[in-house]
Amino acid sequence: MAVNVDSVYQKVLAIANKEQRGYITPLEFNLLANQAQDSIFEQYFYDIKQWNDQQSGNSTEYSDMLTILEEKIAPFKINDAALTGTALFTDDFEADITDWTATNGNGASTHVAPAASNNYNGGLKILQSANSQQHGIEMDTNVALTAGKKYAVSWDIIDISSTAPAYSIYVYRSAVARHVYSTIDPALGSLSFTFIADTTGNHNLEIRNTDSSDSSRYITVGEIKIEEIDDATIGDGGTNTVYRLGEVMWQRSGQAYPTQVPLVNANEITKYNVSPLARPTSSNPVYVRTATNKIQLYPTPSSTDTITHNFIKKPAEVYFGYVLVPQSQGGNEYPLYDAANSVDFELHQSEENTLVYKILELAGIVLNKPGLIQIAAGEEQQLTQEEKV
Amino acid sequence: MGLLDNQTQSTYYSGSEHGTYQFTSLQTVIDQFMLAYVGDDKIIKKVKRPEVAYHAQRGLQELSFDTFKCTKSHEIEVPATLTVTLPQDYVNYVKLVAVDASGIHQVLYPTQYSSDPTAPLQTGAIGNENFIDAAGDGDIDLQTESDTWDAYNNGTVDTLPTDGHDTNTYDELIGGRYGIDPQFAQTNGSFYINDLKGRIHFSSNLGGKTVILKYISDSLGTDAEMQVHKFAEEAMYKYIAHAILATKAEVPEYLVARFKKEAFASKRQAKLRLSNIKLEEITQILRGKSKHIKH
Repeated sequence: MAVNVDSVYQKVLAIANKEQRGYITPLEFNLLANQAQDSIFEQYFYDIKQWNDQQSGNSTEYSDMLTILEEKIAPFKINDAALTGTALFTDDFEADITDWTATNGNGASTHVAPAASNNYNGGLKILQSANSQQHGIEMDTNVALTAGKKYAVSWDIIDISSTAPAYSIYVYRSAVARHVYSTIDPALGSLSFTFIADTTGNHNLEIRNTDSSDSSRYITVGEIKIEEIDDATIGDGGTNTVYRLGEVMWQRSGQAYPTQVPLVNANEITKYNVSPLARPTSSNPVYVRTATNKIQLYPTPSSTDTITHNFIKKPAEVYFGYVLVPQSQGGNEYPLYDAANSVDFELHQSEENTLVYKILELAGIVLNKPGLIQIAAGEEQQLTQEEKV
Repeated sequence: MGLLDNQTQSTYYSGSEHGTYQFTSLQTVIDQFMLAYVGDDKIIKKVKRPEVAYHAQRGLQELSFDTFKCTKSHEIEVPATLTVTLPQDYVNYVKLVAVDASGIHQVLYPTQYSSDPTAPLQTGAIGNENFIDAAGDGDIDLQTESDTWDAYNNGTVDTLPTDGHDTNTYDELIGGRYGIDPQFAQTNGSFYINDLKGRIHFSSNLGGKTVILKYISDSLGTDAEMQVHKFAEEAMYKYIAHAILATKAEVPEYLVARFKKEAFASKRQAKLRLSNIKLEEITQILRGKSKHIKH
């Protein structure tokens, strides 16, 4: 669970003002908050190394430092993400669903507006309620796919009826379903399926509620997209960029489990290639990091191989959203917290105190108040000592 | 949990791969080595998988040469040229046998008194050699076959041991008249392996006969044969561990020495297990110890 940005801001203001050391504006706070968050986040990796090197940990249920640190990093871990290239089509259903057309009248497809109840994530609600037939909705946009290339369809289910309906996602070309994903046991969360296009040309998607009970069962899709998988681009193809790249995995067609792909330096690959025993094969592949978001696999994967990777994403940028209510409208000219336009800290709840002290320390520099720096630094150091000693 | 859990008995017997349970694939050996020997709290803190794969393949080669059972054999009908090409993955032979009409093996022995040397074309008298370089490229021209091989190829071996005493049949064979050397006291035939040209030469009495070449490879020819008998699995892990520790910098020497001993011991144990000595069989053989005249 994240740390509320307003809670941190109010504490920072309270401590700073208590010491009569000055006021920190929301603009300054936003800058300092991000710096503090980044600093705490980066420190996790060095702490893990330190605890790995020096301590063997303990067997307690909640107090093993390595477990605690892993728990703090857990929200930023993205596992088994495909190596995706360009996003060919994305619809987040935030504004409307006008790019979609119902394929039959056995229910209703409606737009769900962003609201606090859905975490301000709009969606497409597909309801089956009539004629004992399935109800589907098809996108109007055509997406050009090339035969033999790998693609991924990924989507978020943000709401389902208490009795969940089965649903399917079809990739169509010329009114023929070429690739399909079906489930009879839907759940909330992000899902995806990959396929190799068997024809070249324009394709489109249909999301179909395959229930036929007329019992008003529905699913709400938060976002759907089609991406080309190029086996070279790391990240999840969306907003989650790679902060630290973890394991890369290679699963050959027919293989039950993937093989770990180790990182080698570009100069090493030449050495490996000339050795018949160390030369990379699909059983023992390697990769070279070629750019911030690119890797090069050796050997080149076949179209039926599945390459995935784990990575740590960067924490979202914190933002204290506010509105200024003028006195003429009953306000006091002070910034009033606007939850809808704010982004909370993604760090673990236990980091709230550290965040407050770190921001105060930075605020002391901005306000040129050495006393504030000293107090905040002392508090932070004490907290660190309590945690680590 | 069991290793067979994913395969039912009916699937096994109706399938095409039988007897594979005795082996562990090299891939699995590498995966399991990475799991059990490499990590923060392990003997080897960090090693790249390609290096483990390299040492695993080297280990497989080494064990193939002197520990694993010889499983490769090649049945060939000796052509009129009396020459057969070596198998693609040949490393060395275990034995060559001719097969008689009953399918019984008759062991062939390598000839020690002939060979197939490289023979440059030359002009001029002996002692005044002039090698020929017709193309003028600096490389002297060679005869297609050496005179030695031609002579050996054209010779005949009498395969009818009708004489019960030293007469002309064995006169031609070394030691024939004055006490035959036991290694030549057979008429099965002989062979010569020319490693340079990658072929086996047979004596002329073997022309048209079926011979079997039992040979060893290094087990790296194809993915399917990259496997280790379970008796030797531990030897593989210990070999890889020792190879990595011995080539890594700043590894305490006692650790290298420990794994050297362990690798040696596990290899010896694997060899013992794979030598396939069964009590009943060896008892039966030893029963012959009281028989004075053996053949």
